[in-house]
Amino acid sequence: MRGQVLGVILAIIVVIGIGMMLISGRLSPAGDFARWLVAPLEERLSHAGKSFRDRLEHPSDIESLRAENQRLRREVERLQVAQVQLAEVEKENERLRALLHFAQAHPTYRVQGAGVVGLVIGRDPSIVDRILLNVGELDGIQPGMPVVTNTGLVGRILHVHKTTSVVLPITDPDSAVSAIVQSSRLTGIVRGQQGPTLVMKYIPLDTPVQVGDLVLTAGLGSVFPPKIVIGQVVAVQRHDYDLFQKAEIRPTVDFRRLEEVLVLTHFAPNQEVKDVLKALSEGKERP
Amino acid sequence: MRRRHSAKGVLIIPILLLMVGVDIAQISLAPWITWAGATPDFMLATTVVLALVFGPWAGGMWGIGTGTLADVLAAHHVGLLAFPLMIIGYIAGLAHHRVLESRIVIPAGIGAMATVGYLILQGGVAILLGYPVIWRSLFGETFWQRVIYTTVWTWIIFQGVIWLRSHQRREV
Repeated sequence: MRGQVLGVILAIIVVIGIGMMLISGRLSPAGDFARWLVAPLEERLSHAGKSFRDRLEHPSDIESLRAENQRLRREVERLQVAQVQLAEVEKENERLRALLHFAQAHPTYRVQGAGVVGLVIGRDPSIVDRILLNVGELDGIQPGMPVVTNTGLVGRILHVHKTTSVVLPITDPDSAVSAIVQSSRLTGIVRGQQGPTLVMKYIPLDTPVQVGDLVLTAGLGSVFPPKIVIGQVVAVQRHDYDLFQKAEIRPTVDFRRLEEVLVLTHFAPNQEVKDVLKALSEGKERP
Repeated sequence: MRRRHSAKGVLIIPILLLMVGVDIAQISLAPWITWAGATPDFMLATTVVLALVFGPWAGGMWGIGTGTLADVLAAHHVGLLAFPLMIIGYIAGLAHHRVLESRIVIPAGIGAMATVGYLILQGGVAILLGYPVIWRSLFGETFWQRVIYTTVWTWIIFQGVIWLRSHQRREV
C-alpha cells in the first residue's frame, strides 16, 4: 500500500515537472515583471555581499594598503593588456609589411564605439552558467552584444529584459568564440566547459602551441571585436595517434570576482581587415 | 474551522516572502560568499531542512516553489531547478521521522547526499532541456567544497529552525 502511494506521488511529481518545462515559454511576461520587481533588491544585496566579502578579506586597519594594492593591481592589469596589444600590433606590422610592402604601418587596435557599464547583480543558481547585469533594454542593450572587462572577454548578452540582462559567459559550454593564438596565428574555436578553464579543440598536430601562449578573439563572424584577450594556454594535450591536439585555456578574467563589466553597444568588426581590403580593391595604399 | 483556514492563509504570505528572500539571496548574495571556489546553495539547504522538519510534502512544495521562482528570476527554462528541488525535498522528507534520532548526524548526512543527488538530477534535467552538460566539470574541481559548504549551511539552518520551533513551543 505504502509502495503504491509512493508510486502515485512520484508519478504526480514527474507529470508536474514535465508540465512546468512545457509551459516555460509562456511565463516570460510574468518573469519580466518578477525580475523588474526584484532587480533593485538584487542590486542592494549583491552590493552588501561584495562589501561583506571585502571586509572579510581586508580588515579596516589596512584600508590604505588595500587601496594601494587595488591601484597597483589595476595598473598591472592595464600594463598586461597594453603589453598584449603592443605585441599584437608588432606582429600585425610584420605581417602587413611582408604582405603589402608598406613603408609604415599604423597600428590601430581599438574597439570603436560606445559601451555601457553594467554591474554584476547575480549569478544563475543552476548548473547553467549565466551572469545577471543591472543594465537592460532601457540602457540600449541588445542580445548578442559583447561583454568585456579591462582584463579580457567575459561573454555576450543572451537575454535582455527591461532593466536587467543575462550574459552567456565564455566559460559556458554553449559559448563558442572564434579565437587566434597570438604566437602561431592559429585560428580555432574556444569553448567553455562548465569549469574554470576553456578548451580549444581541433588544432592540427603540426601547429606549435605552447603553454603560456596568449589567445585572443579572432573577430570572425562579427560577434566579438578582434584582438580582445581571452586567456592563456595552461596545458596542451597531444598524442601522436590523434589527428588533432587540444589546448586548455585559463581565462584572464576572474569570473569569481567579476563586479563591473563593459557592454560594447557598438564596435567596428575587423576594421583593420576592412580597411586593407578596401585599399586593395581601390588600388590605393592602406589608410 | 474558518479561523483555522484564515490562519493558514495568513501563513502563505510570510512563506512566499521567505521564498523570495531565499531566492534573491541565492542569486545575488551567495556568489560573493564563496569558500574555496564553491558557492553555498541556500535553496537546497532550506529545502532539505524544511523537508526534515515538516516532512516530505512540505519539502516537495517548498522545493517546487523556491525552484520555480528561481527559474523565472534567472530566465532559464522553468523546471531546471524546480524539478530537482521538488524531488530532493520529497525524498529528504522521508527521513523526517528519523531526524530526532540524531540532530547532529542526520541533517549533515542528508545534506551531503542531497547535494550530490541534486547535482545529478540537475544535470539530467539540463540534458532533457537541451543544455550541454559536462559531467567531468560538474564533479570536478570544486565538487567536494560544494558538498561540504552546502552541508554546513544545511546543518546551520537546521539547528536554527529547530531552535526557533522549540522556542515557539515553549512560548505557547
